[in-house]
Parts: sequence; C-alpha cells; structure tokens
Amino acid sequence: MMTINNEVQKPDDATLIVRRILNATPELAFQAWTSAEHIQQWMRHRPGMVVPLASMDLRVGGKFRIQMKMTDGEFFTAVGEFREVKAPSRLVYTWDWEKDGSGTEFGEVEGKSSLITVEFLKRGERTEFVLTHSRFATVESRDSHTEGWGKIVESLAKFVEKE
Amino acid sequence: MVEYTSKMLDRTFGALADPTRRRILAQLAKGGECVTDLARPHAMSLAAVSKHLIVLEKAGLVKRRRKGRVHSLTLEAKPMKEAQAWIDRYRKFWEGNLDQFEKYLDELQTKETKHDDDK
Repeated sequence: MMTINNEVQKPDDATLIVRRILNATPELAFQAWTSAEHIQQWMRHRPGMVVPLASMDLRVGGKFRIQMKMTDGEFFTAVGEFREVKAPSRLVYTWDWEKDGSGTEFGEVEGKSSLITVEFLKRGERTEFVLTHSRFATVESRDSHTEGWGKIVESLAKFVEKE
Repeated sequence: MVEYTSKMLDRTFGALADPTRRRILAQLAKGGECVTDLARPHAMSLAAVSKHLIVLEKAGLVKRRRKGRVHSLTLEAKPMKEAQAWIDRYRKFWEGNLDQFEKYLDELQTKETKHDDDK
C-alpha cells in the first residue's frame, strides 16, 4: 500500500498512510486526538516516554507544540500549525521538530516541515481513522499537495485496495 | 469522481505509462549507460530516445550527467531510498502512538460506562 503511494510521486517526496478502526465515535476520537490533556495521556510511540508539555490552539492558523521526553532524558518536540479544522471529521496540520526541544516555549525548528491530514470517518459506532503524513523535498511540491494532492493519494489508495 | 490535477502525478504516471520508457528504466537499473547504448536495443533513433529520457528526467526518475559529448544516465535511486527511510521512520512513530491511542480510547469508554452505572 504505502510503497504504491510512494511510487506514483516524485521520488524524493514520500507519503505514509496509516489506517485504524477505532472503538469510539469520531467525536470522542477527535477530542482525544486534539486536546492537550488527552495527548499527554496517550502520546507514546515508545514505552516509558512521557509528554511533559502539550499545547494546542485548535483553529485554522493556530499552533501546537508537543514535547516528548524519552527514557534517556532526550527531548523530541513537535510543532506545527493547523491548516484545516473540521471537528469531528478532518484535520490538516504542518509538522516540524524543534532543534533543541527542551524548553517550555516554542523554540527554533529544523525547518523540514511535513504535512499531516487526519480523518475520522464514522463507521456505525466505530471510527475509521486515516492518517496521511507527507514529506516534501521542495516548497512547490508541498504547495501543490495542499491543493489536493492528499486527496488524490487517498483516492488512489482506495482504488488500489479494491483492485 | 477524482480529478487528477497534480502535475507531479501526471508526469510520473505519464513517464511510467509508456512501455519503451519502462524498458529504458529497467536497463538503467542495471547500471549507468550512455544514450547511444540505450538506443540500440529499442531500434530507435537517438532523437526518439532523447525525447523519452527528457520525460523520465522531468519525472525525477533519471539523472543525466555530461562528460564532454557523452551523456551518461543513471536511475535516481537515492531520493527514492531516502523517501523510503523517511516513511519507515514515521510508520514506526505513528503505529506506536496509535497503539497507545487505541488503548487510551478504550480506557476513556470504560470510565464513561462506569459513570453511567453509578447514576
């Protein structure tokens, strides 16, 4: 799946798509995904790590900052800006990492901004969750993406799945 | 109906749609070659091969290097590998987070049900 998506793009760009069926309504899933208090509870890609700080200004143009602390004390701090906020079904935001990340306020970023689209689709009592994370080698390719590239990749993925 | 408006998508699909261009890519995958070498097995003129190569270059699939009058061609594998590494890194990151997210949602719901029972 993911390799297929990658193949139809310019080779130095990349798109990752992750899907899950969640045992919750889109409303609850959206809330848990976007509120700082909830994020501090669940955001752990490795066991033992913690999220000492999280802030979410959930509106178009609003910023977020999620500070992740590894078990060895190293910080990974993600920051970005919301481009689309349509509760409870859709979110689009940029994603970058702070160079240092140990501070309590927004710090200097690496500048390799990528783009994330998250969709919460109602499936009866459950939710189909689709996260699309796109890396862009150039600003132009990122801008062309925001004009609907994500949707195209998504549709392609669905098409390929049916085949 | 999906509109395929992306120039990138058009280019890459366009580049891969042609059987001759796919054969050229397959040949390049074996190692760098010059334009005349590529023309031979396809029974084509140099001009025709050049046209195909321009399409492949624009799609970012092929890189051309000039050494005097000889143009040597290579498949651009490095950007593809980098892209794959990026994807693998973030796949681990998001899959890890989503495992926890799922568990957390279950916990939230259990709490809610308990609250309802207390009422």
